[in-house]
Amino acid sequence: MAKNTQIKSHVKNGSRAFDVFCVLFCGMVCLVTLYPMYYVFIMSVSAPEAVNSMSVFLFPKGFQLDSYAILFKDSQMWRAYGNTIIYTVSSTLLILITSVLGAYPLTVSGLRGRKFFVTFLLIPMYFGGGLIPSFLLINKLGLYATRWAIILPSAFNIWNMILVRTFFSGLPEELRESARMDGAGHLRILFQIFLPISKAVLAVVSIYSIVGMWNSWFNAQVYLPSVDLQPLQMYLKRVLVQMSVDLSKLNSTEIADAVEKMFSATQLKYSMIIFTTLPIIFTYPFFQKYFIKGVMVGSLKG
Amino acid sequence: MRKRMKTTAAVLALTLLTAALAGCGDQGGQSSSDSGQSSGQSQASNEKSSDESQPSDQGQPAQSGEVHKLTILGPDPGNQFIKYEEREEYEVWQALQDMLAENGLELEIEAVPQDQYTVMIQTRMSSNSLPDIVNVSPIDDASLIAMGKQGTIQELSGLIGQYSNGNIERMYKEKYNTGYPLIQTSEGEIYWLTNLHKGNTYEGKEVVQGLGIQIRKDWLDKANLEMPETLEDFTNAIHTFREMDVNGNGQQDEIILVDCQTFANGLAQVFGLGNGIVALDTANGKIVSPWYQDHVKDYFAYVNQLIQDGIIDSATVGSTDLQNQRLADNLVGSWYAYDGATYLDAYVTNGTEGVDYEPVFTLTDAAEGCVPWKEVETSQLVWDRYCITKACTDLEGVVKFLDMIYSEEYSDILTWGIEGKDFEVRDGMKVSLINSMTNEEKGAAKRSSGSPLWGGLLPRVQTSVDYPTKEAWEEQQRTENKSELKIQALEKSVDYKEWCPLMLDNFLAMATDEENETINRVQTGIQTYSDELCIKLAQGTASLDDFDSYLEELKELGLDELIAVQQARYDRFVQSRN
Repeated sequence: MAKNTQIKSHVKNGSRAFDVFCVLFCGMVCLVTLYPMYYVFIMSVSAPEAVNSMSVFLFPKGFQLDSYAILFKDSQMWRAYGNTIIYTVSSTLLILITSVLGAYPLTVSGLRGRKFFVTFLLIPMYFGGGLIPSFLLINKLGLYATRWAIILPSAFNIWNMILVRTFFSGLPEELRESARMDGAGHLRILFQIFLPISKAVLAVVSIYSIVGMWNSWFNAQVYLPSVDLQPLQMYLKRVLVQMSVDLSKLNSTEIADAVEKMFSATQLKYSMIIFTTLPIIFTYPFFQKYFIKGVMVGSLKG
Repeated sequence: MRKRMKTTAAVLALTLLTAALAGCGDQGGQSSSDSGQSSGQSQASNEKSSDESQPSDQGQPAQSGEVHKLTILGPDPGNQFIKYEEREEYEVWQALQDMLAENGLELEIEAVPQDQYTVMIQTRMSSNSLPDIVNVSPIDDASLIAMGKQGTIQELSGLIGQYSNGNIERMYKEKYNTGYPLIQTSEGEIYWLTNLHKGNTYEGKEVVQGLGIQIRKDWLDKANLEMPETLEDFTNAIHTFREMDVNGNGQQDEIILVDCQTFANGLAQVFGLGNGIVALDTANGKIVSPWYQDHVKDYFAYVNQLIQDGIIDSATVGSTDLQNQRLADNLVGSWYAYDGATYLDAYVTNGTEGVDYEPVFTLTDAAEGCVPWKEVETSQLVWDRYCITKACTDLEGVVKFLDMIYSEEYSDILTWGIEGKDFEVRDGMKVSLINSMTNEEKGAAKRSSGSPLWGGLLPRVQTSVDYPTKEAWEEQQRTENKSELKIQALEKSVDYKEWCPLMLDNFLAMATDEENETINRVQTGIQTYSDELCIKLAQGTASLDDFDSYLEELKELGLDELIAVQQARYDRFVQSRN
């Protein structure tokens, strides 16, 4: 009994030291993760002089919201926001549809050529044609300079399909068998039995898709020459690029304009970053519980 | 039911297969723009806005008397206040439309934002969806010549000879007489035309734009110092700024900005060094490298000492953000810019009043026997590139368009705007009525010359004023808010003999295939090694005692080959002008 108490006390003391270490370590990780976001926020609401001289560290200096006012008045920014929402919603819906419809047949044991299809799908996950072949394809399909150049290529993602397939494979086969005994076909099994219990994987696929599409800009840069169709990240990139022009590479007829653009963008970029990040930050809590469950989706099951 | 499901599944599979094969046809870039313009047909094609920018199909061959419809692709100028999308509200845009109509031309312009133009043009040039005329400035010479040989872009010398009314040749051979050697290959082919710029003259002398050290005149006044003329004066001044805490913030934090990564920083030229890994010694007609020049070690020793003293903040090297932050915080006593720059004071944004950066034309006595060089942007400039693609079949029309561009009339509306509204002619000289306005004011009033409104989309041919006397030119400079010191520095650059050009490419004939191969092989390696070595020598992490070994390394990397190639190009350039 005395020995047990001793052991208990020893363990309790040891775990306290470890607890302290854990708390400190996690605190540091939080600080390192959260401080940059906090820094961007306080820079966006500080006075421009303090922003230019980069003298803001812990608290805002001279509270002002002028850069947000400039942003809100910019119709191009709102147009870009609308475009991003269109691309995000449509590509997420399409990804969910294609992932589910593509994954389910691969879990049916009687499917002929299943191994071939799986291999056929896995290869392009590792190898791609590159930028020029993709551009030529989009161009020949008549999608260049249209919204479809952004939506359609992202409508199908093999990784997400594999994720959903793995989840479906983990569902009890008895569910399918009993449904079939009751006369259910494949579509009914998929939509009325599998999908209602697959919220976790659907949430994971959704959040991957939403975040990926919200942050994407490269396809827009290549396929969308028109500013009216470009997403928010292209607008943000434009603001940031204006800041980073190498003035030494310009001649005297170009330099005055470049300096003018550079100054106006200094604080705008911080406000822009906050504005573009907020929707994603607000989206995460809704998917949080599914996300935690879904983290283990791809793992082996007993 | 089951049969119906199987039939539906089969139809869906067939649809998927058909859709997958849909892209395999050789349709080219069929236009499907909102304007409903069908490809290659003679519909009304007044200039379209950029959101109807589907790549257009090939045009019909033109017959004489018809209106020539051309498509052109270029970067949106992106001026913050004088916006291209508001062009219809500018009289100068209407003047351009009238000029096009007079010449029987209609343009469909596709304007792409500047920041994405480089990526976009590189992918578009590899596809079949090309306009008639395209700004190919982001693509290097060797790649363009290769495209020319493959037929993606058209060779122009034959077309100019066949269809031109002489304007193009007149501009390139007479008015901007450095132009042709820069665009003609060694075989006499021309694959692109360029922007042309000519600066003002007074009393027949071309006014150039010098670059060099700028110093805080207000700090000199506070410290009771004269404008430095020797390197010793300058060193004394910048140390005094720090000792006296001239910015009055209670700390000895006054610094100077010197980009030690490159030789183009004003200070290297004080030691008689060129402004790049290779540079042109115009006095002797020789291509040189600063690494081989006499006082390069003295230069690095000086810079190293300034870094040791804390006068140069080494953290600012290569970091535009930190440089701007130091400037904003009123810490910078000296940096490098155009002598005539009037926008420098705006960099100090912490509320300090009376900020006054003025040019130090040059500094003497940097080392024994040292003659300082001056980096100069020459009066005649050639930059950007515009080519005719294989998609263009209206060759007569496109040459007609180029003749219009390279004409005095177009040059006037591009450089000056509308006579009577934006400029007027007094005593035979053009005088701008809007030069003193800021871009914001011009944008609000919708008054502008063509250059900020559409510059870059169409080639720029910028003319100048030939002032009869120096006093007349000086008077004009004062109306542009240039101080007396700036005006004097500009005047000194006109007559200064030991100078090197800012844009070396403006003095080098087009490279041959072999020369391009050499340049592509050696330039990047030499540039990288040179940049890193500059920083190491400046900071003292590499010793000047091992200088010979660094030179050996540069030779191994091909520096001598590069100098030889550029010398050959310069010699051809000089020969073609004689």
